[in-house]
Order: sequence, then C-alpha cells, then structure tokens
Amino acid sequence: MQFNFNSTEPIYLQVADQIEEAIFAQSFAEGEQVPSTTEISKEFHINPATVLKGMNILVDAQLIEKRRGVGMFVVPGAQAQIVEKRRNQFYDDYVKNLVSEARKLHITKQELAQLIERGFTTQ
Amino acid sequence: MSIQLQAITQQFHGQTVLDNLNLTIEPKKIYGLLGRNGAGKSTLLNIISNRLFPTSGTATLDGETLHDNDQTLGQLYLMSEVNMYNDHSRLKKLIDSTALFYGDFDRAYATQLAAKFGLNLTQRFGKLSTGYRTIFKLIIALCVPADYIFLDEPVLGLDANHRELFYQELIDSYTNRPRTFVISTHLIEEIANLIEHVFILDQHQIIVNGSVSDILDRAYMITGPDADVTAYTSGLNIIGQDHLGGITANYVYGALEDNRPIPDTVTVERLDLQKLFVNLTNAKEAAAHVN
Amino acid sequence: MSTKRWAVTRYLFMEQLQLLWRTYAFILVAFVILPLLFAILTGNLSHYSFGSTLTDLGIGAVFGFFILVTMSLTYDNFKLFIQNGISRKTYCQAKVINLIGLSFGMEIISALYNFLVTAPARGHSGQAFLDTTVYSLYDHFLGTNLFVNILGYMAFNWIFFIGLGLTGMAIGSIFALLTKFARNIAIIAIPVLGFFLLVFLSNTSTSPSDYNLDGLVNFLKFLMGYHANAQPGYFNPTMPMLTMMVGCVIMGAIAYYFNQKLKLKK
Repeated sequence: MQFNFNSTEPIYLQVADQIEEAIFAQSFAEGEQVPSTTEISKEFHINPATVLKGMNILVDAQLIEKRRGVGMFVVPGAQAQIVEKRRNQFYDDYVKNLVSEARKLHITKQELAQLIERGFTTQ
Repeated sequence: MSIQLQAITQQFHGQTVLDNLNLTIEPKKIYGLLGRNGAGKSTLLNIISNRLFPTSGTATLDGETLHDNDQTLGQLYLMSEVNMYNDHSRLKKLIDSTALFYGDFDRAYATQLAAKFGLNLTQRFGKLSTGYRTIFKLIIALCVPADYIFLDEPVLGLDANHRELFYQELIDSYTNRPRTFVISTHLIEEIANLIEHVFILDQHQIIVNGSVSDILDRAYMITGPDADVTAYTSGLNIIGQDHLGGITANYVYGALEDNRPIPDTVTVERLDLQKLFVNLTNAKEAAAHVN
Repeated sequence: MSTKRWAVTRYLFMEQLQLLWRTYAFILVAFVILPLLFAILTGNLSHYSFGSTLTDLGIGAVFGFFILVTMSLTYDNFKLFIQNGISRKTYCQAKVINLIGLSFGMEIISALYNFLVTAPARGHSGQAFLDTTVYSLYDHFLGTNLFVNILGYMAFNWIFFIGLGLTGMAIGSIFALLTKFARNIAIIAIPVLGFFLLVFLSNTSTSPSDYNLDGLVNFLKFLMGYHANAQPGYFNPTMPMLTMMVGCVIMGAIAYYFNQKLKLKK
C-alpha cells in the first residue's frame, strides 16, 4: 500500500481515496482484509477517528465491509464497481480538460484524434 | 464529564499572562494546544494541574474542583517540561512511587516501552540526557491510569526515530484505552493529523478552539496576480500575505464569498494547520506592534 | 484513612526511616568510631572507653534535631506529590501523622535505651537518671511510682518532639515559598536580628527600672508549671505539656497555612 498525504484535501477524504486506489490497483484483493484503523493510524500518525471516518465513506459506498470482531474486508465486485465509477467520471475528469487545453493550443479535432491514436499504439 | 476552565486570569507581577480564559476539555479526545513561546501554554497547564493558583477563575473536573483535591487531581497527569523528579532518585523507584500514588500503574507496558526506547531503569533521573528525561516522563505518562494526560513539549530532545516511536505508541495506547491527551508542542506538522481538536493560545486568549477539520475547512490560500487576488479577497478575513514578484498569496481564515466568481488566474487552496497557525499568530503580533 | 493519605504517609515514613538510620550511622561513626580510631592512632587507647561513649549517646537529642530538620524539608516532596496528583492537604496531613507516629516510636526506643542501657551503665537508678533530665523539675509531682514518672517523662518528650517537628514544618513551608534570593536574605537576617534582640534583652535586664518584667516572668513560671512555693521536682508537668500543645497547635496552623500556598517555582 502506498499512502501519500501531501495534498491539502481533508485527511479523511485522502484516507478514503488512498484505500480506493489500492483496491482499484488490486493491492487489496477482493475478499481480503484491509489494514485496520489502528494500523493506518499508527503508520501515518492520523487520529483513529479520522481514519474511521474515511473508511466509513468506503463502507457506505459498499466497497469494503465490516466483519464483527475481525476487521474490514474488500467486498467482492468492489474493483469492478470502482472501474465503473471511474469510467463514468472519465469524461468529466479527463476529456473536458483535454479538449479545453487542446483548444488553447489550437490543436484541431483531427490532430487530437491522431495524438490519441499515437498514444494507443506506442503504449 | 469534562474539565472546565472558567474565567481564568493569571497575572505575574502585574503582567497579564492569561486573560479571562474559558475552556472545555472533553473525555477521550486528542487535543493540540498551540501557542508561540511565552504565550502561556505551560502556565495554563500548571493551573489545570493545580501547580499554580490562578489570579482568578476556577478549574473543575466533572463539576468538582481541581484545587487541592486528591480525587480530581488523581484523574489527570501533567508531563511537564520542568523536571518534577528528584535528580538522585532511580527511575525504578520513581515508577514505584507513581504506582503507589496513582494505583493501577501499567508496569508491564512501562517495562516494554523502556526496552523499546532503550532506557535503563536502574539509572538515576539526574544522570539522564534531556532526550531520555523526556522519554522517561513519556513512559510514565502513557502508563499512568489517569483519564486526562497533558503532555507539555513531549518530544523535547527526541531524535526523529524516537519521535516516530512515540507517536506510534501514543496511538496504540490511545486505541487500547481511549482517554484524553492534550499535546502542547511547537512541531505542529508532526501532530497536525493526530489531533482531533485544536486550541490556539495567543494574546492571553484562546483564539482558535475547534475540530481540526472544521477549522481547516475555513482556511484558504488564494494565489495569483496581485490585482486579481486583492479583488477576489476584498472584504474577507485576510490573516497574512506573501509576495513573490507580481504574484500574491493571501491567507484567508473564514468563509469565502460563494457567489463571487473565481478568476481563471487565481487558485484557491487549503491551508495546513502550521501555515494557519503561523499566519494567525503573526498577524496578531503585527497588529500589536502597530498599536 | 483514605488510600491516598495512607500511601503518602507510608512513602514519607519509609523515606524518614532511611534518613534516620543514616543519621544514626553518621553519629555512630562521628562520635564512637572516629574517636576510637583517633585514640588508637595517638596511642591514647587507655583513655578511651568504648562502653561509656556508646552509652552516653543522646538518642533523644539527636532525634530532636533530626525531626526539626527533616520536617522542614518541603519543596522536593511537594513537587513529587503534586506531580502524582496528591493535594497539599493530604501531603500536610500525612506529614503530621508521620511526625506523631515516628516521635512516639523514637521516644519509646530512646526511653528504653536511657533506662536499660545508659542509666545502669552509669550506675544510676531510674529516678536518679530522671533527675539529670529537664524533667527533673516535675519528676516527683506524680508521686513516687517510678513507672508513672517515666510515663510522664515520655509524654513530655513526645509532645516536645511533635512541637519541634511542627516548628520545622512551619519554617520549611515558609522557606519553600521564598525565592532563592529571599531565602538567602532570611538566612542571614534572622540570626542578625536575633543577636540584636538578645542585646536588647540583656540591656533591659541590667536596668530593670525601665521595664517591669515581673508579669512576664510570672507568666513564664506559670507556663512552666511553677506554683506557690513548689520545689523543683514538684512542678506540675501538665502545665508545660499544655503550653507545648498550644505551641503545637500554633505551629501546626502556621505550617498548614503556608503549606496550602505551595506552588511551582519558575
């Protein structure tokens, strides 16, 4: 797991984002346990209540679930759910910015399509 | 259930250190008490723990006085910068007396912590370096069965590894037995995410008192060309400014104007706790100098 | 007794026991062993009597000095106790309980030593020994029963020790409130003032016409248990005991009052 708390976003949102990212990257596989509140809290010196608040966002989104007395586990299908969510946000998060930046640089629609084509073939 | 300070005023030789200060400290929360050097943090903690008498005002725990009262004083522990232990006493003996007076002292954990920090308990207190005195006092603070633990400069003289270890043990201990910690330190970045609630002491008063997330929700840095930033932040509570060439950063504490459009050239970012603290306490100082 | 008060009393008692045996060990070395070594080195061993040196040890006098000094030690323990959530009140009470208990124990030990070791070694009877003490003013008042007189003597000493201890506490708690500077001034000023007071008093006694001290003298005699035509040995011992008790109450009140004001120094 790779946590990176540099941004100035509220910490509990960062906790949620980072765990979600780890599930998406399959660092935490479906059905597996995620680190406990205390573990995360200790590792990054974050108040346990803050960590819990972040985790609860993921519980509400049904990406992780609480098993009494054991801990938090990744819900089966969580990764697919994240993929679905990110696909839905793809247009807003990336395409809009891409087009707006292209316009500022006077890149035409055809040129942009060609660049995308190049991106797909080289990577 | 809480510690309440009511209208606490403290004067030394006619000089006001604390002025009509009110404060509530709730159970099972981790607090940060921040203030510049000489702001009166230690004085405040010494008043709570009945080591000093305020000029006026009262301190209570669950409605019972904290003045000369074994019952209430036994529920709190202040680890202070001043060394309260006799230099000739051996650490083992100091642990014994703490256990005798508080009862229920977690000796197993104390031994474990001493091993982790590499502290030999057969030494005399006076022989320890600054760092190890701090470590010894921290060990006592973490093992004492009190419900309110006050840590005044808890990382004084500790190296980075020991600080890291301390923060981890603090969280571990807090998770195992939730109780209140009030941490007074100058290393704000190290505790910024650890504390749930923050008090900022400045100009003899508590000028900030709230949950860290609520407070940081109202703290912004607005950066961009001078004119645009000035226009956008006009009328807002500007607590500080930085300039670099034609670029200005205005630090704002308080709500932004929601219906005021943000110019393309201007970026709005959040402040972290340290930056907020520096600007809040600087601004006051500058204002005081003007007067 | 509350657990805290008991804990503090126990702590203070153990601390005092340690100091006490060290004090007596020091006395033993200084007044018995060192003279012995000195006698051996100078070849005067014939003049040295181990027995009489040992039997002349004033256990009670040493304890009086000890209790006055140790009861005056205040600030270090205050720091430790306030650090451990112990109130000033409990500290003060535990100290007094300790004083009363320790004085009682030490008076018994001292009396046993006096009557079972020192007196026989000097070839004195118990009554003859009493006649060499301060209590000789009172040692016939309670009749001829030696045991009763010894009890009176012990009670007298016990109250005296308590008074000394409380005086130490009162002085110690006042000194604990002073800054180092003020304390040093006091240490110099008090003997100087005392000296001038003595000079003043000796002057007044040489010219009695200026002041009429008869009232004061009579009052002091009354406090000492003197009554009409009483011979020394037949004074009433309850009077000085009551006087000392009043002194104890006054010193205790002063000690308590200033103890309540103890606070952390910068």
